[in-house]
Amino acid sequence: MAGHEPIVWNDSFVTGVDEIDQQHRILVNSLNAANAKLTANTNLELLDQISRDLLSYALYHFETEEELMQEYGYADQDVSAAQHHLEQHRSFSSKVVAVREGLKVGTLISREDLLSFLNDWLVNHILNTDKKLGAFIVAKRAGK
Amino acid sequence: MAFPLSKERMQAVLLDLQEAIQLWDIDGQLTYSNQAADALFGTGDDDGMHVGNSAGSYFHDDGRPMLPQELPSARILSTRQPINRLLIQKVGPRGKRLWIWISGQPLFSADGALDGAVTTASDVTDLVEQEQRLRQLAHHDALTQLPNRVLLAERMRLTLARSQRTGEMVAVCMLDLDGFKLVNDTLGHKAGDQLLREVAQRLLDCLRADDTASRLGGDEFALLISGISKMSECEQALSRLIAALAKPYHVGGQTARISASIGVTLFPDDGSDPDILLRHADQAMYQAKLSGKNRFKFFDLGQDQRNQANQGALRKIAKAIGAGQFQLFYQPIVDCRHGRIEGAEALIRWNHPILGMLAPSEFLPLIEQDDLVVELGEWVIQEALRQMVIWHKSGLDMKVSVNIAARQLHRPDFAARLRQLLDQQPLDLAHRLEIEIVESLALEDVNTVSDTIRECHKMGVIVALDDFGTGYSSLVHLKRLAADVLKIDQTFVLDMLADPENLAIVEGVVGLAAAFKRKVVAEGVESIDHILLLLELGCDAMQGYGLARPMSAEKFLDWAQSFVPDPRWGLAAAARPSRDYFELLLAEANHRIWVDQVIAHVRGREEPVIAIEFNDHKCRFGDWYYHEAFQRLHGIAEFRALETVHSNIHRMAERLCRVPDDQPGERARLEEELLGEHQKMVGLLRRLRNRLATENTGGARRPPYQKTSGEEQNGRT
Repeated sequence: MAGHEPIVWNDSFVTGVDEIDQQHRILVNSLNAANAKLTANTNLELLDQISRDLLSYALYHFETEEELMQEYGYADQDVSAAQHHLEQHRSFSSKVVAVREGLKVGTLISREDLLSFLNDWLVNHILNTDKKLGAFIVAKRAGK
Repeated sequence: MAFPLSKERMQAVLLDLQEAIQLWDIDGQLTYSNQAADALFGTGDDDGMHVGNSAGSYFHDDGRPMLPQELPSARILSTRQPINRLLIQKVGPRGKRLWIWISGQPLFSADGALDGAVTTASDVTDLVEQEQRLRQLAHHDALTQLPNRVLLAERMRLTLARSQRTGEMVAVCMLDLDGFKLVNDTLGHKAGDQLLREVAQRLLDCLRADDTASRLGGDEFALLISGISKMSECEQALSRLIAALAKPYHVGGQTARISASIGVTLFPDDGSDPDILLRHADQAMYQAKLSGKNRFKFFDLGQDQRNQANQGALRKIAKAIGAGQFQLFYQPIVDCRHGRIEGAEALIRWNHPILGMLAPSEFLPLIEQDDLVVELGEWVIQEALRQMVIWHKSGLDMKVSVNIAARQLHRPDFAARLRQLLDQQPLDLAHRLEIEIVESLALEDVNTVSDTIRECHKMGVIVALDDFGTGYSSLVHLKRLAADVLKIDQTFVLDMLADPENLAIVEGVVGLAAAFKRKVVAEGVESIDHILLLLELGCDAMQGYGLARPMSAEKFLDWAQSFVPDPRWGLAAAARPSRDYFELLLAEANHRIWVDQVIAHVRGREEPVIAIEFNDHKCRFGDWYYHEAFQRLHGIAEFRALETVHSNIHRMAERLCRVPDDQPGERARLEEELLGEHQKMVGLLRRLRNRLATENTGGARRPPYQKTSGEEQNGRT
């Protein structure tokens, strides 16, 4: 089983928007904590707590981002980027809900699958989609 | 001068004074010294305080040795200025330390020239030592002499400031003794005190001069370890400390053993304010205790940040309740056998101003462990009741069920609160209110829950066990819980067509409910197939997207008022059909799934590898057809016709799977053929089912609401 290395926060993660970056750090933290605590034999309680943290994260973090999008008119600038961004958010939430549904009937998501999901999210959404949003917001804040 | 005193008189007065008085000439030589001065300064001996003498035994109040020119008399003479209450120290020949207040003035002759100096002094040793003791007391713990809280705060300020300059880390630690209470209880308080003093000493031995060990009270200590450049250094220091404190103590004539639990946070990684640093260290110490004691634990800043963020989310939910952002949607529960609406389940939605409509699965898990869920739960009950009153006015009177979280249910005042909420309404709605409790949670405390259920029954309120099948109830639990309704969890229902084990579970629950004379509701029906199969199994009441999605109260009223039962339900509603009918029903569903799987596999989607059974005698349908049903049904034309069609399907599937990837045109053609043949099979199956159904009932019996004569519908839902 390939081990995941803990992710070290570095500048490549920075979007330039403090509120967003602060919350992204929390996700990286959650990912590293999950990586450390989950063993090959995942247990229900741990997955329950991790998935709950992720639900919470989805709530407060997506609200932060989507509120900023609305405030600065991201959809006016690029409607498909905004839509795509929102879809990814919804998809993240759905996935977490699905994991919890599984827990309810005893289908525990494997350590590999959970970590891959979070890693992919980090790489695709945070390093890509969020960076784009960040650049937009930073520019707006600078008065452009 | 008011009263000129004679020289003799003056001398007598001066001699007697307790205050020491000395006169000096302009060269700093002592010219007069009264008795008190002799005693104080030892000017009777050769220890006198004059310029010529070595001033080595005199010190400033901060402990610095006094230089000759700094002696009070010398200063007055050189500066020609008075001094007032200068505090100095004198160390006597036997090392005795005295504190002395000295005041003095220069003396001038009539013509204004400097003539000498006069000094007065008093012994304030007692005063000063008293003050030192007080200050020591104010800053140090009386028992162990370690710095106390007050001094700790000061040391923290200095240490953290220094750390910011040097860039080195400071470990802020909280230390608690494990097993100290036992020592106190068994060996007495004196022994306990001795032990604490010994602990203090060991702490000081382990720490360096720059570090601080302080006692906060009881068996609680705080430590500051500075100058750390790597976390491992800190770990080593703490390990040594733990080991040192774990060694046996000899107190009260016995050997006592204790250990230490230490919580640490590192500054500036944790850049909080000093009192927060201590709080963090304390939290970590608590974790150390929980993990088994006799160890240290670092404060998890990441975990703390996560917790804070989560708390923030909770607060948002709390605000949302007050802001009216929650809404109830209603999903109908339909009795498909009798073709009527049984009731509605109230489902909560969060109309989030930014994120849009959120489903309960996205936020309920966050408040389940918080009293907020109770507040929300009460809002749900209130709102559902309110809605029932509104519907009543439009002639809609049916059962409404609300979901109740375990935390709310476990409250001792649950039934009372429910009574209150019911009483607030103008109508008596108790008998139309149903409480849904998730089965697995009800099992966590069967006693309390069964009591509460009984109290609900007394009010006439119905209780349902939700998500049934996902908990691990024994039959005894079921008996004791006395719930009125079992709601089969949707995961079993959704999959029951394709997964025989899920089908078995559904069958089992239906049977269980019947045996215990409870009602049963199937959740998650998605299609007519589900409905028919469930009716076949004896489950009448159902809920799911296949019937209706959850909708707003207004839409629900419209839906209910225009509700017409699906005529196809009548197909199964006749007297329990034979097993063959059941198999045909299953066959139709299974085969469609099978065909879908074949096509998906061929199109290269990531489907799990299923053993695609090409042999038409060996698939489930084939097995039933050739081994069971053939004898009984081969007389029926539709049955015979099935054989060819079924066999075609298998051959086509096989051909399809063998088409090479580079012939998409050929593949598309075969797919179409396959689907066409499958449609034929479905048609035949339905006609056959219909035949069997009407034959079984003699064609005469038909449910009262059935509008058509049972002609089969074309195509699928």
